[in-house]
Order: sequence, then structure tokens, then C-alpha cells
Amino acid sequence: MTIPHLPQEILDYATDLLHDEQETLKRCCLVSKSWVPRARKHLFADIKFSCTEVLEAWKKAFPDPANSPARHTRSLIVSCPGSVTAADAEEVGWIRAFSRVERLLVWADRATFFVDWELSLIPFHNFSPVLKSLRMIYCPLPRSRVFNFICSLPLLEDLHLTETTSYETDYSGIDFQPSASLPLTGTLELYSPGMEPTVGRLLDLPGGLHFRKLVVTCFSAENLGWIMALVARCSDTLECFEAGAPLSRMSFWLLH
Amino acid sequence: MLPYPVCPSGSCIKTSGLLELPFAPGVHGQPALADLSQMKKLKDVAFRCETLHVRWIIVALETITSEQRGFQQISINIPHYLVVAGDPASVRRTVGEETYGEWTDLDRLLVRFLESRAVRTKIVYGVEARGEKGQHGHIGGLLPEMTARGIIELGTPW
Repeated sequence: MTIPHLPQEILDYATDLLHDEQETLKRCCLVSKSWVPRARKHLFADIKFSCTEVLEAWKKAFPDPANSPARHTRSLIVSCPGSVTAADAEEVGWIRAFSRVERLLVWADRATFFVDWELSLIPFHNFSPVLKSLRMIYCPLPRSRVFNFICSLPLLEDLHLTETTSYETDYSGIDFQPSASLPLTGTLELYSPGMEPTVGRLLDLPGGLHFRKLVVTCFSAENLGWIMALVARCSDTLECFEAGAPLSRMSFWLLH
Repeated sequence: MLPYPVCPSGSCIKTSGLLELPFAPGVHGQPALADLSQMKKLKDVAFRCETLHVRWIIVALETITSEQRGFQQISINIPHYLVVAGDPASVRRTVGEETYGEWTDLDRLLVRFLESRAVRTKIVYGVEARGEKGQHGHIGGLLPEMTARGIIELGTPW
């Protein structure tokens, strides 16, 4: 029995309907070569490099970055940033193969992933010109390095910053160099016990802050003024405000 | 020059450190987490509790003004382990007078928001906290008036 010829648009439409059915999409790739490109678009939309082994497996499967399915990736999670930058050093432009990523999570928590203090974020700078959402969980990295990376993302709308320790990490002498203004029109989520330097840098960003949603956690009385400064800076655009107070020490500070 | 931005209209609160930080005037002269009245386009506010002390929420909500016409929802996220089961009297005994008083004030404030401005209240807590008597079984002891009116919308934690 011959398979009736269907226009590619119809096949693509059918494949799109399966966008969250990973196993079915994999089977689609076995049906016909003509089904592969559309299935790949969905199969590689969300990629997570959780450890060096996963990264090595990717490199082995797709040795040529220019022809890898990285161009299909829209959401990227990197829990081993050191390994990614090493891969980029080996094969220049390896990270830039992921040039259509819109959402990026970089988990650079030394306690969990032994991230080196010297980790450079420069290979990530504007690696995806369409990146709109950045979530960074970082403990050992200097804030100036993080903010230079932030400033390299021209279409950035959402910013989620989690600093897992409160000690000062701007020891390295690398200057923060704010450049072009960023849209910053989405959500700002800040989880930082020692938020003063971070908020200070946010307030310094050229072009101002235009967030519509602010999510903050207040860890100390000292945080109050900084949260208020953020609110004041975004007061013309803020539509949603979410606040948390660990152990509700807020009540104690406010009342005593 | 101060190493931090100062809210021009704010007062100052003496902190545990050497700095005096700006704060917004809140209820009964207490400082608010944020002066929500500045947000002219405010639609939703959400608060995450980690203890049953909710005075800070009241103080923040009290800064919202009638000028903020788009304001439509208050969400309060309570971890399931904090939700106390029982009727108001037994909850009062369990959590203590002071804490219960805070919840009573919050209950009244939420009713006021509902009656004057049709602002919805959403309570978000874990499924473990939902009683067999119904979804509002446990929260009823903390927010009796809102619960009695059947106007609390329950949400699932994220």
C-alpha cells in the first residue's frame, strides 16, 4: 500500500500538534526523512546540559556545531557552565550554534556544581541575539561579570537573579561596563540576601527599568530600602508585585 | 552621597546597621515593605508567608489607594505545614492571641477590599492542607469572614 502524498505543510502541521510528545516525535523521525526536520524542531526545543557527561554526549552526537540541531533550541539550561565555555574554547563558536535561544538558565552554584571563581561568561555574551529571558543562579561569580553578560543581551525582557550566598563577590577587579539600554519590560525576580550591590547595578542599567512584574524576597531590614528603590524605579510600569519574607522576620523588624 | 537611593517622599527607619534606610509610611506609622501606592498600574499583589505572622502583609496592603483602579487580585501563599485546622476558637488557642489578631485584621481588610473594590482574594496552599470537610476546611479558622462568604479562591502552589 502506498502512502498518499501529503503537502509538506500538512505534515508539518501534524508534527506541530505533537510538540510535547517526545516519544512520538522520535518515532516520526523513523517514518521518512522528510519528517525529520520538523520533528527535530520540537525534539531539540528544550535542551538541558545538566552535567559534563551530557555535554560530551551532545558533542559526540553532533560534532559539527554548524549542522547540529542547536539552532532549534529555544530554551536552554546550563548547569555546567565551565564545561560549556571549555567546549566553546575547543571549537570556537560552539555556544553561538544555540543562536535562537529565547530562555536561558545558567546554574553557576559552586556548592552544587563546583563552578570555578574564574569562570568567564564572555563566550555567552550575546550568543543568542533573540534571548528574552535570563535566569541566573550564581554564588561565586563576581556580579560585575554577571552584569556585563546581562548587558550583552539586547532583547532581554525577563531577569531572574538568585544569589545563593550573601558575601561580596565583586573582588575580582573586573569593572561593570553598562552599555546599550535593554528592554527589561517583563519580570524581575530577585532572591539575594545581600541584594544591595545587585540592586545598585540594576538601578545603574542604562535606559532604566520597565518591568511589569517584580518578585522579591526580603531577607533583612537593610533590604527594605532597596526593594522600595526598585519599586520606585519601575512604578510607571509595574502591574504585579510579589513579596516573600523568609521566616517572616519582616514582622519582627517592622514591629520592633 | 549616600551609597543607596533614597525615596524622596519616604521617611527613614533605623536598621541594625549604621545606615538609615528609606521606607514608606505604613499603617499606624509602621514601615511598609513597599509603598504599593506608587504603582499606578498595579493589578495583582502576591505574598509568600513562611510563618503565620501576617502584619507585614496588612501594612503593605494598606498602602494601596483608591486611585489604583486596575487593582484586582490579592494572592497569599501559605505553606501547607502552616495551615492550622479547626474552627476559629481552636485555631485561636493554637496560634495564640497575637497571631490570631493579625489574621482577624487581615480577614477584615480582605473583606473591605472585596466590598469596596471587588478585589479577589486567592489563597494558595499545598494539597496536604486541604481538609476532608472541603477545600476551605482548614483556612476557615484563619479567615472566617472571607470563608463564610465563600469568596476565597484556592490555588495550587507553584
